[in-house]
Amino acid sequence: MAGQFGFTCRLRICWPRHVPVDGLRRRLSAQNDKLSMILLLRPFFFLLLLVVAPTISAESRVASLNLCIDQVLLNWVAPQRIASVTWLSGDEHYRKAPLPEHVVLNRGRAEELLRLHPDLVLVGQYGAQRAAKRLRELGLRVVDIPDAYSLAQLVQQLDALQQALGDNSALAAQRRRLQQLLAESAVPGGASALILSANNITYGSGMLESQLLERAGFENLAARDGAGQLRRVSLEEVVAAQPDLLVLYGGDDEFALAHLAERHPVIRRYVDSGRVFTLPAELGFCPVLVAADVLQQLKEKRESLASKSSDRHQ
Amino acid sequence: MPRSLPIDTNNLALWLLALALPLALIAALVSGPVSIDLAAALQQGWRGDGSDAVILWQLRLPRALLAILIGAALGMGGAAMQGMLRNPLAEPALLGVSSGAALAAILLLYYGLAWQSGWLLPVLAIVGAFVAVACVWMLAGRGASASRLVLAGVAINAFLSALMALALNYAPSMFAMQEIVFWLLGSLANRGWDQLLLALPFILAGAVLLFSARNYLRALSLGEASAASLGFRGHRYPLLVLLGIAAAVGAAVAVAGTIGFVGLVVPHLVRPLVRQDPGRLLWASALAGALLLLLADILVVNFVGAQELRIGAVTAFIGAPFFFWLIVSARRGQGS
Amino acid sequence: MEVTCENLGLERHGLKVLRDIRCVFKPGELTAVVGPNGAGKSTLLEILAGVLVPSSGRLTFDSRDAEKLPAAQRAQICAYLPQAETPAWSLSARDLVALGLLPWGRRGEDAERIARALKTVDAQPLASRPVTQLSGGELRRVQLARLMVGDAPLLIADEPTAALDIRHQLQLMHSFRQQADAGKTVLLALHDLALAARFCDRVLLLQDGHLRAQGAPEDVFTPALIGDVYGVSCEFRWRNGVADFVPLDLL
Repeated sequence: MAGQFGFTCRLRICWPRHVPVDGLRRRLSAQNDKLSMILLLRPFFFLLLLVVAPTISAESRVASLNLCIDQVLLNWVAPQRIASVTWLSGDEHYRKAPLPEHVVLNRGRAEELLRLHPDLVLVGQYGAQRAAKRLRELGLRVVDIPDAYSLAQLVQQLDALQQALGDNSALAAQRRRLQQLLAESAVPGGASALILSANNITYGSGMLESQLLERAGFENLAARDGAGQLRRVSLEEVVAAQPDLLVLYGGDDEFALAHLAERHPVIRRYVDSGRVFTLPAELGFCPVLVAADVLQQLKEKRESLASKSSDRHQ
Repeated sequence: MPRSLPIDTNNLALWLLALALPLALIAALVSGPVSIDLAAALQQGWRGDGSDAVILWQLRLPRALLAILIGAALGMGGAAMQGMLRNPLAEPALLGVSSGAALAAILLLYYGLAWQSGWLLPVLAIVGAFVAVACVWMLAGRGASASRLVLAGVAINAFLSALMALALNYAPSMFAMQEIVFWLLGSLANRGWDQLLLALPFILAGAVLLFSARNYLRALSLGEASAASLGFRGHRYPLLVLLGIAAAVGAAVAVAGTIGFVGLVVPHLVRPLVRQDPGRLLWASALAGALLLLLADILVVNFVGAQELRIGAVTAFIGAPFFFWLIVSARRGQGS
Repeated sequence: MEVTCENLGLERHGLKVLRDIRCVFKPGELTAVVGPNGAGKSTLLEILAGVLVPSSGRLTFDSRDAEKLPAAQRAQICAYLPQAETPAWSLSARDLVALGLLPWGRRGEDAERIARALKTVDAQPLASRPVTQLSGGELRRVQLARLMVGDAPLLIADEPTAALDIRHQLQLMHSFRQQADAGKTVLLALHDLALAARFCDRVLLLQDGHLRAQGAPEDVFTPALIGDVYGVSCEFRWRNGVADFVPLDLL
């Protein structure tokens, strides 16, 4: 289902962060609230839109059919310009930014967006293609935003977003920051790192996570073994590889058997000595949002590790 | 005397099983995805910081011992369940012990309790096992026949499985289906001394309870009325057996999920070796169950693949052909 | 072992299966419990054996309340063979007989005792055979060996002769007679009135859950009483102490 909305499951085998609700009841009531809120308030949205519409430029109302584009809009675009995002963004699991009240949650159907009369519909590379085609046929402006699986593609994605959304200072700043970080000469290696994600999965050289590690001056030990994509890594291999930094994914407070490896006592040594870095879950489904931050933090981690080890050597 | 010959070969087979267990343990310690320097690891000792020592002492040893412990619990639980129900097709999970324990563990783990929370997890898993058994007991009615117990067990099991799926679907974990599979097929991966020490006392207590009921199981080979006349009257003994199974199997499920087939196949396999004696079958099944699960786990550890091989799948792969063989040999025995 | 039943009764699902049974079984006596199907023979024996608990009345072994005896001790007093006993596992005949020694939990002389018990029922050749492969009569004999292998002073068997051929019926009744003569109290539920009349000292005639008559076979087995209880006209001929019982027709 997620694929339909452009959540392309880049990390299908891995385990995104869990929904931060801690019980059956809370989750149930939250969903009920959401549903009833939508049902009750829908007529008022239209009234609101009718009132507000004339004050906003006609070019500006944007709808999204892709989970990651949702996040880009919610984080970096003025709330009144957002007409609709996918229903997945209604879940706090995927969303950090607040969800403005007037924004309609769509389930990827053309008729839902048609009624909202958006000026621009953004759609991902995969998913919701049928709705996009239909909307195009009906004369709406639909723009494809390519997915990003590498640093280079991240820049391209930002370019495409900028082109579609027009001048946007947040996007431009993000693009500048990323390019700046990429332009900095990679710190010479020496420190090693290994990713341990849910279900004992690690990331090989072809993956964005690995690129970020290398850019930050770490040698990805999984890539050294010739792994190009995702690969299984047992705790034994983690211990034997002796990485300087152990990278966990989507650090999770909720229990899941998939995360059991991260709770094993042999990992505790890394936690105790501060040699653990946790990648945010957003890197998994919307890297453009956090890639620059992660790269920056990894670089800082690399420096603190270097100073620690030089302390030890002195 | 030629007549005593088969007894000797049976005992020989049991000794071989007992001998194979330490050998399999050594095999489990030396094999794995990483090749380690065993001498160095031993030299560094228990608290060694080197990766070889950590792999040997903190990863391979607890996992292998846990396989032995859980295999023994399942084998023994299966033997006791078959003995109590007088049915060679019974298995420890039949009366809801496993699903009760799994449901309790799931509710506990996913709704706000960390794995490290000490004794609570196995205790509550065993409580879950007991509640399930109590439901079966009450549903079947006091002093019910074995067939009614089994029927009630099937009903309670189905209901508990549904509750398990429901609980996991509403759990904060997003990948409920995957977690359900993890629980239903069991796993020893990523387990350490924590889990071993959690399960150990309960499995030992269960073993003591079952062992103290061995003469009841023997008497039951004659039927319930005869067993009563032989001094095994009332609900005390069946409760003793159920208590033992719930403690041992409940603790095993709490740390490793529900691993099938061991409790079903192993008692079958070793029954001829103990001359069908349901009493001796208890420890013989424990021994063979430990060996079987350890061998299965060696296979799992050394299996190369994108995802971990599920140990429940391995035991089913070993178990199902055994049943094929059983059916075929029974057909041949009938001469048809 | 003197067994006394004082007003024993059993109620099951609101139905009085057995009521007001008053009788005494003395050591050295071989007693037959007879009566039509459903008269309560098996129920009475199960109460005596401790399988069922009576809902009224009192059962004493040598004036000790049987229900207050610990189960293990009671098992040493009374050995019992139910009407249908199906072994769950294919134990060897020898191992099945050994189960009769469970209440004593002893080892050592066991092998000898088991061999002796198997000999009493003419089953030594079956010793190593799996019991699941025995014929009905062979299995019954092995089970009777299990009954007799221990030291229990009270032996109770429910229709022990049912599956046996005439030779083994006679042989078995002789060995029960021997056990009684050796001082044991023996109780058998029997359908064969001729066997009962010939071998037993006393007969208990049950009808619809109550004790219709008890006493020596000659006193109980009268055409009038049998006709009344079974609804069958019959004839008893006594020759040299051997009863010949001939059922003639339905009444």
